[in-house]
Amino acid sequence: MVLPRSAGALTMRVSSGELLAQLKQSFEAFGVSQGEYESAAASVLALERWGFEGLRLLETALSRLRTENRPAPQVAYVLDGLVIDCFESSALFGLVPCIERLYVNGWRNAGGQASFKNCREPAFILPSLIKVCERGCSAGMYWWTEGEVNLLHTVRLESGTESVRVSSGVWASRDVVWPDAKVLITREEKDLESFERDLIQPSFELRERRGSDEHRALFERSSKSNIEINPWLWDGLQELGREMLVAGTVESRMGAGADPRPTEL
Amino acid sequence: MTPRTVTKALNLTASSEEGQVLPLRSAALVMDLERLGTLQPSRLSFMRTLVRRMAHESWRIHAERFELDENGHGEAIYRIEAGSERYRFVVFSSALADDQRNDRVISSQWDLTMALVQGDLSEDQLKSLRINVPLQEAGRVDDHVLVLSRANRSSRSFQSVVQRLATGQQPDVEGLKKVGYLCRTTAVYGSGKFGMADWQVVQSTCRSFRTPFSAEMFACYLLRHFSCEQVEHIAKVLAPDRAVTIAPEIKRFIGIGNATGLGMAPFLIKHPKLIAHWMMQRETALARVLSQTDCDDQKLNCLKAMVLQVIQHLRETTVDEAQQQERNEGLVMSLSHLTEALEQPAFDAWLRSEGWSALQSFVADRYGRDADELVQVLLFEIYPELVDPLEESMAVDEDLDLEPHVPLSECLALIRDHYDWALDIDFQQPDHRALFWYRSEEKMEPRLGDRFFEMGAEKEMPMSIAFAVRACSDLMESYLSDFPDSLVVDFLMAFPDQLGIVRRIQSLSGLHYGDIRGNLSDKNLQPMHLLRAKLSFFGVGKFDPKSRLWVRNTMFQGAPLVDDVNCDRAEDSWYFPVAPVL
Repeated sequence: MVLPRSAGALTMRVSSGELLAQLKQSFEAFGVSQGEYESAAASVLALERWGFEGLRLLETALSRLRTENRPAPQVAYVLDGLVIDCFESSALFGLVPCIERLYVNGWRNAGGQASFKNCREPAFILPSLIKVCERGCSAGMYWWTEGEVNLLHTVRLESGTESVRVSSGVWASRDVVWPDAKVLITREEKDLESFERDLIQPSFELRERRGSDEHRALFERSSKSNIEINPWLWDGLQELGREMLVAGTVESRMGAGADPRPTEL
Repeated sequence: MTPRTVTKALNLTASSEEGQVLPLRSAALVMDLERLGTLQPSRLSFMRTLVRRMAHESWRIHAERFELDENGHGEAIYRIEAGSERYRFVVFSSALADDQRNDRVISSQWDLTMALVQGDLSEDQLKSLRINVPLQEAGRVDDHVLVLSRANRSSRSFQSVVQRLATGQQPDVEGLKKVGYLCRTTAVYGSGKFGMADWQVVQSTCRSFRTPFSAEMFACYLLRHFSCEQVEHIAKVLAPDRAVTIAPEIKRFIGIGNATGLGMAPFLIKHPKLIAHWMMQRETALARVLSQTDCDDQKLNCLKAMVLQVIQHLRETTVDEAQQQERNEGLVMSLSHLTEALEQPAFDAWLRSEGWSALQSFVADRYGRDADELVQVLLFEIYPELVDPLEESMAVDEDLDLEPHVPLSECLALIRDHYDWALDIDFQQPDHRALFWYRSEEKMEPRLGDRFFEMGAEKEMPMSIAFAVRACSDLMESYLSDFPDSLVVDFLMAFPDQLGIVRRIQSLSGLHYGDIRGNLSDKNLQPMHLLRAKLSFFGVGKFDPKSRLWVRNTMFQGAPLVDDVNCDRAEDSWYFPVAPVL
């Protein structure tokens, strides 16, 4: 019996390093630039580590991502911030410069907001936000997932002395009050509080709340052991990654230098 | 809100042990690709560091299981006690036809496969290892495994050593000068590959292997031990009454072989902060040593003895490749001249008054790069108290980050300042863009292709930093002419595909030694320089190029034996080993 490489097993575990390397190679096959596929790979891993189910999110999106037409996001500058139209594309790709724009605006204006319209998997914005918060600011984000019960997801990122403090909540609501994902970058924690207070209606039902200690514990735990992944997702990623490999030929074998014949003969 | 700034004005200095500011060599000199190809193993190399740690911490290594048949096939398990930590080294030895023995990554069968495992080993774990370790890349292991590797018997030495031992003779030392090992590794995997523990996990949970590549080096060290025990075992079975074991002096001269190809090169490009840091540690050691002026009798005699030893070491080194042979001969000639100079009273007096930096300038001016780099590492040996403290900080945070608020004009100025070597390359010349790096579908082996004659350039690996910088610089210039007051973030909004290279440029800007300065797509590229640079940090010797793309070398030749470590008599003076005289 061979320990399942992937297919046939119910779950498998991969190291962070190999997951990151595989994600980069797979995303490279989407034809995005190096900076984008590196950021996207890091986003999936970071979401998974912080407890936001990055791999499950990727799993549901992967088949669509393969064929998704990814127009550049359109950015409009409005009075209270940015409005970014993603044209039904995933937040996994193409939004890093927008987040950086928001960060710079926030730095210049003591805070900045952005609405992400028509954005799929908006949670993939979070790791970029964590990254800018590591530079010394705080951020809040919310987005909706629609279903039988609509869920509002709120995340707060506070700049700490050693690392970013991440806390989150999930609220159920009959109505989607504001369909866009919203992000605020600020240096004032009270801004985060009013951002959340203005958003959450009395009719919303709190479904889940995770404090910064819980998210930190999840992060620490997942950083110390291998990550569980659906074997089918792993296979899918590997299949994608293979598209970046060049066929082996007699000539190409010489392109690695070593003699392909038995050695020392 | 104030943006964090990582870009700093470069101050090319290091600190002495006492905090004194010391000048460093320039990045233009140190990071030049050809100079990197002259680097020598030093006492900061990971093999040396590992052996010192084993000795200082009194590691104990014993065979827990050694079940081999008359052909040396079977399995062995070694138990390692390193302070309070326990590890196991598991070796599987299988039959392999001679025509299957190959150095390439694309091979699928080997004489030996092995794993270094953290903690105790249950029967279930062992069962799983028996299945998966021999499969290597095709298997899966769990995160108790730190290293996975394989090796082949050397066709030139293994059987002949067995025969001599079986007839009561010691191995032929002349033969060992030519092939200083019994087995040769063809890959050593760690850092989370195939389900193994991530490097960050190893670093934080395995104190014994807290420095980069120490677990990988240790696996090679134990492979060397196993290879000697294996030949002794086969000889004993062959001739129970006549067979002898290898004399310790000869055994120390047996290392472990290694074959390395292009697979090592991408690491150097993918880990720019780490490489810059390794270079910084090495150059700090050099700056500390060169600041010393106490060239007394003891130190000068030590240097003279080392130079003579290196000359002998080089004379005992056999290489086929003409260029490497020429370099070795040139070094022997340079060092012979240096020996003569060191014996002259006037030179001796000058050196005593001027100090080691004068010697380094003299060697660099008179004998060139190879001798310069070699004498530097010899000077390291004279001052272990200045060099060794640097070995504990060879790891670094490798995160790359942007500084989006920086004016684009500043970023462009940064490029012109730090990447002048890249901007000087004319990429309109086809020869300067001729090569492309790619991963083959055969085990993802990295290969080089000719852009104009081979298929696959559209799947090129992003190895050519010089070209990417050039392209980015051109775009920035053009953008700035339209938007002179723009910021980096404005540029990235307009050209999001430049995100990766801008992030790299800004992240390396505050480091003394940034990117490797060479055009990796040049038609005349010598990838060997990249391999040699990394192998020097590992500490390999007997550098024996087989082409410009792959090299054989010897690890741990001259190093203390497991018995030496177990008896607390492991010495730290095994640089540039020479053949024993019995």
